[in-house]
Amino acid sequence: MTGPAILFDAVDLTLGRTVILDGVSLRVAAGTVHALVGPNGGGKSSLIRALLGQAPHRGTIRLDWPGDGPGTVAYVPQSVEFDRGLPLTVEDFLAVLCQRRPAFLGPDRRINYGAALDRVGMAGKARRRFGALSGGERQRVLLAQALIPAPDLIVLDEPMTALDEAGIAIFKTLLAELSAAGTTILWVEHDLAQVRRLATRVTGLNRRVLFDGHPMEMLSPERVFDLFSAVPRRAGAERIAS
Amino acid sequence: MHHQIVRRAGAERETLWVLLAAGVILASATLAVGLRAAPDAEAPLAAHLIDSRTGLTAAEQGLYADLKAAGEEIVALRTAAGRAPTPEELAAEALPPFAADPSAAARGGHTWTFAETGHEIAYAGVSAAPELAGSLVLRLDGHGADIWLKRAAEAPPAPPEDAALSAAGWKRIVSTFTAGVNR
Repeated sequence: MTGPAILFDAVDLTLGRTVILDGVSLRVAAGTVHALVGPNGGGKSSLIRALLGQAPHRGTIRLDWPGDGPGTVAYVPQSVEFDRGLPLTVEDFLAVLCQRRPAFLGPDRRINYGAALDRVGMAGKARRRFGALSGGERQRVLLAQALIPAPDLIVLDEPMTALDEAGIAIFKTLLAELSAAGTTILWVEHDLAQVRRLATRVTGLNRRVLFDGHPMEMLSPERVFDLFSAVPRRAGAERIAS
Repeated sequence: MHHQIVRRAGAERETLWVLLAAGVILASATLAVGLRAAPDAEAPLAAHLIDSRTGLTAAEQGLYADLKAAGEEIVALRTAAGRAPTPEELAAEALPPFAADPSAAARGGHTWTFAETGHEIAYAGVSAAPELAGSLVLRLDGHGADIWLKRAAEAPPAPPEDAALSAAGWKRIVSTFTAGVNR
């Protein structure tokens, strides 16, 4: 089963009196690596929260699954807030997130947590205390939990921010594997160089969609300056869209 | 192809379920109350009866309570002396309502007479002011007291039998107990 196509149609999101998203219309094709770029506070994470059904959005967000029913959606958060002193091993952490059986009864042996950790280069660290991991290692564990069970749609919220050099290499391999398996990847990223290299399509988002297209064409200096300027030029966005 | 619409986060659905649950509870409660309602217990009194709680004036209620207490006293005196005491003797003992005191005057100023028919004795009080309190008859047999009332300044028929009293327009005072009685 390949991944779903995602349609955002005139998605608005207002929290209090703050307009976070303003008429965002966007199509993510099935099986693509679709990058979302934009400045801080541009609504990238909010769009993802809306996609995950956790935001009071208006408009339509539709997932078109190729099969008869919905498949597996995986989510890798930007970071995880938790108590570093918690007596929780890496395996326990995965058990909390991935299995139906209560985690205090121990990890479910039918689920191969070791293989997932192996894929992110964390083999043999299943019994390490989660609070003792470095930031990069924690980010790898967050990647590993998204691989159980094998995802059809994976939503990544700035997964490379905390990763070290080796982690970045592993992430690239994973991205290639997932993409080859037909998984739809929606990827929020700050690193425009990586987006140019790895994404098949890129969308610039600053409250509204400023551009949407192939990374090589879209990530020109002029557009990037426009995207990251304090006041996004609506007229310019419309010119580009047409 | 399966289309999945991502629903907005919010409490609308929960609110709807809560409102539905509240509606179901209200509807079932209304149904239960409607089906299990107690039948109207306040059957109308017969024509020759009058309710002591709702039918009497204030003075009549006082006289009725005094007569019930006096009835027990009279039965005791009759047992002790072997004959029924006359109203004059009761007045001498200052037993209300026979005693001629300001209270009796304020409650109609009844003139009490006495009649004895076999085992049954009766005290009849003719009211001087029927608008304050009607005329009263206290009948005592071996078992208890019967008190009859007529809102007129007239003496009861002799002998004061049930049928004769009813025919003359007298009404027996009874206490009915309904859902409104709370003491």
